[in-house]
Amino acid sequence: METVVLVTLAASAVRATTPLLFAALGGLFSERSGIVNIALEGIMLFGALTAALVTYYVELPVLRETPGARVPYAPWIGLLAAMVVGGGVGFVHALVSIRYKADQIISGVAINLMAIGLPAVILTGLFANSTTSAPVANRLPSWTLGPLTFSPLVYGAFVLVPIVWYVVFRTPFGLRLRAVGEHPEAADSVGISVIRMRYTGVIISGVLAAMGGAYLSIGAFNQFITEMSGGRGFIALAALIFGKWHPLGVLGATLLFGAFQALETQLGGAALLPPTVVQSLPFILTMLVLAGFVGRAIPPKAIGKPFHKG
Amino acid sequence: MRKVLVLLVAAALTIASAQDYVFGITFDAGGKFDGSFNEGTWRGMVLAIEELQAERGLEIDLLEFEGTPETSAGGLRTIAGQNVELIVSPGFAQADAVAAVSNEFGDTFFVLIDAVVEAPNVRSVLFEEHEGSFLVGFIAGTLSQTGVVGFVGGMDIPLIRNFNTGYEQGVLHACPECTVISNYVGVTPTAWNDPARAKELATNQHAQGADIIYAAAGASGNGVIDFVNETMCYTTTRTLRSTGLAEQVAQIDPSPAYASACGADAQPLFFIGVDSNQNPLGDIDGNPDTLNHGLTSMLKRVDVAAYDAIMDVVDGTFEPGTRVLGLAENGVGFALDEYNEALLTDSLLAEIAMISDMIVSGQLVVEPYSD
Repeated sequence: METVVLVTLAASAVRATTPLLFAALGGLFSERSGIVNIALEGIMLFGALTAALVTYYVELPVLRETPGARVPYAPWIGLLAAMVVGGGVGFVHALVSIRYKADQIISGVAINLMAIGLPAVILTGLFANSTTSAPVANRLPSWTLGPLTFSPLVYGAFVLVPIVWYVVFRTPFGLRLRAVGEHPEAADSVGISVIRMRYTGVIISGVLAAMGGAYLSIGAFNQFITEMSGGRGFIALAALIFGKWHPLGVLGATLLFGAFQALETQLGGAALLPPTVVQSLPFILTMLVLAGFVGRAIPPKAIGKPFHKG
Repeated sequence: MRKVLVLLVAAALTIASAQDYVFGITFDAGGKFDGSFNEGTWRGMVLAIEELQAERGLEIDLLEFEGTPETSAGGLRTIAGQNVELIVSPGFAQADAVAAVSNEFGDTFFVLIDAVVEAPNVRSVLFEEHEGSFLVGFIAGTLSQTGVVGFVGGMDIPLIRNFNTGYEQGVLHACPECTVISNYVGVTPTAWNDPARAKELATNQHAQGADIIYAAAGASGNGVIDFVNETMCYTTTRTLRSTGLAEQVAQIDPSPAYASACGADAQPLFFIGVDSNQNPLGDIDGNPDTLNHGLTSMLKRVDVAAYDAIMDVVDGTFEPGTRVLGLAENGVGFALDEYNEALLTDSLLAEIAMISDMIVSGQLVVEPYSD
C-alpha cells in the first residue's frame, strides 16, 4: 500500500475514534458512579441536533446582513449548547434512575427512542422536513499541529483521556465517584452524598456524549441528519466494557474499534472479511470479554442498582 | 390531544367526501423532503394534481403519511380507509405493507416503487438504475484525469449494487484502463443516514486516486458531496490522462474558495449525484457561473411514475402489473443544467446521446446486477 493511503487510513481511524472516545469516557463517569447509561446513543443525537441548530441560528442573522461572512464563534456556541443539552438529557436519565429508582435500562431505551422521534418533530417545525437540518456555513475549524490536521474536538477527545484518568483516580472527587459505584452504603456511612455523586456522574456523561454528537454534526460535517450517530453510542458502551471501565482501556478499545471502522472502509467490497463481520466485531469482542474468554471485565459492583438510603 | 386528532380526522373525512378524487402517498423512511427519492415522487403527484385542477377543474385532495417500514402498513390502512382512488408508496421496504393492504382494499389502486407486488390492483414500478448509472459512469470514465473513479453506495443491497454495476460498465466502456473503487456505507438501514462514514469512504477513495465519486447513498451521500466541496482539488505527481477536462475547467472562473485554496497546477474534484438533480449542491459560492463540483446526477424519474399513475387513474386507464422504466421510457437519465453545462462538451453530449440510443435499441447491453 502507498504511504499516502496508509496516512489517510490512520487519519480516518483517528477521526472514527473521536466520537466513540467522547461517548465512552462519558459513559465511564456514569457507570463508575453506579448508573448504567445506554442512553449514550440518544444523547449523542441530541448533542448533534443542538449543535447544528444553534450554530445555524447564531450565524443566520450575520449571514443575512453580509452573505458569505465568516462567523467563527457560531460553532463554538453550538458546541456549548450541545454540552448543556447533553447535560440536561443526562439529568433526565439521572432523575428517572436515581430519584424515581426506575429501571436504568428502560430509562436509557426511552431516551434513545426519543432521540429518534423528537428531532423529526423539531425539524418538521423548523425546516419543513423531518430528516435534515439546514447546512451550517460555519462548522468547527480545522487545526493544524505539525503534520496533523484535525477538528479541535479530535484533539480534545485524546487530551481528555489523561484528564479523566487523573480526575477518576487521583482526586477526592474520583475516589468518591468510584466509592458510590462500588459500595454506596459504605460511602454513605462516611458522609458522601451518594445521590449527588451519581447525579454528577450521569450529567458529566451527558455532556461528554453530546460533544461526540456535536463532532458528528458540526465537526466532521455541516448539518444534522436523523439517526446520524449510527450506533456509535452502543459501540462506545461496548468499548467501555472492553476497556474495563478504565480511561486507558477505553482509549485502547475505542482506537481498536476506530481502526476496524477505518480498515473496513478501506477494504470495502474486496474485503478479506465481510463488512458484516467487521461491523459486529466490537460487540463480539465485548461479549468474549464479558464471558471471561479475553481477560476479565469486572463492572462497578453497585452498577444498575438504585440506592436506598437506610 | 386525542380530541384534536379526532377533529382533524373528521375534518379530513368531510373534505375528502367533497372531492372528485382523493389520492394518498406513504413514506417509509427519510421523510417527505429527502431531497431525492421521496420528494421526487411527491412532486410528481403534486404536479399531476395541480394540472388536473387547473385544466379540468377537478377537486383533488392528497393525503400523506410519513412513517417507517414498520408503521407504513398502518398508514396505508388509515389512508385506504378514506375512500381514496390511488395510493403511491415509494420504497422497497413498503412491499409487505402494500401486499397486505392492497388485499384488504380491493377497490383502491396502489403504486409501489422499487419492488414488485403481484395483485390485481397494484402497479409495481421498477427502474433500470444500471442504465442511467452507465451513462454517468461513461461521463466519469471519459473525464477522469487520474483514471480512478469512486462509487459510494448506501446500504449494501441488490438495488444499490445495480447502480454500482451499471456505473462500472459505463466507466470501463469509456476508459477500459480505468479503475473503479466501490465502497458501501454499511449493511443495515443506518447506512442511509451516516454522512460521517460516507465522507471517510470518499476520503479513502480519493487517497487511492479517485477524482470523480458517484454517491448512491441517500442522506449519507451528502458526506461525499461535503468531502468534494471541502477538498475541491488535488495535486498529484502521477501522470494524468488528457481528457479535455482540464481545458474545459480552465475556461471557467474558479469560485473564491477554489482560487484561494488551489494553485495553478491543482486539478478539480467532482461528485456525481443521484435520484434527483443534485448538481446545485456542488455550487459552493452560490454562483452557478463559477466552477461547480457537481459533474452530473443520475436521474431516476420517480416523479414521472407518480404523475403517470394519477393521470391513468383519472383517465380510467390504470393497469396493474409491473412496469420497468429505463432509458427508452425516459425513466432514468443524467442531469444537464446551468451548473454543469460548462463541464460537459458538445462532443461528449453527442457521444452520450449515441450511446443512449444504442442502449435503447439493444445494440449495447448494460448488464443488471445478479447475485
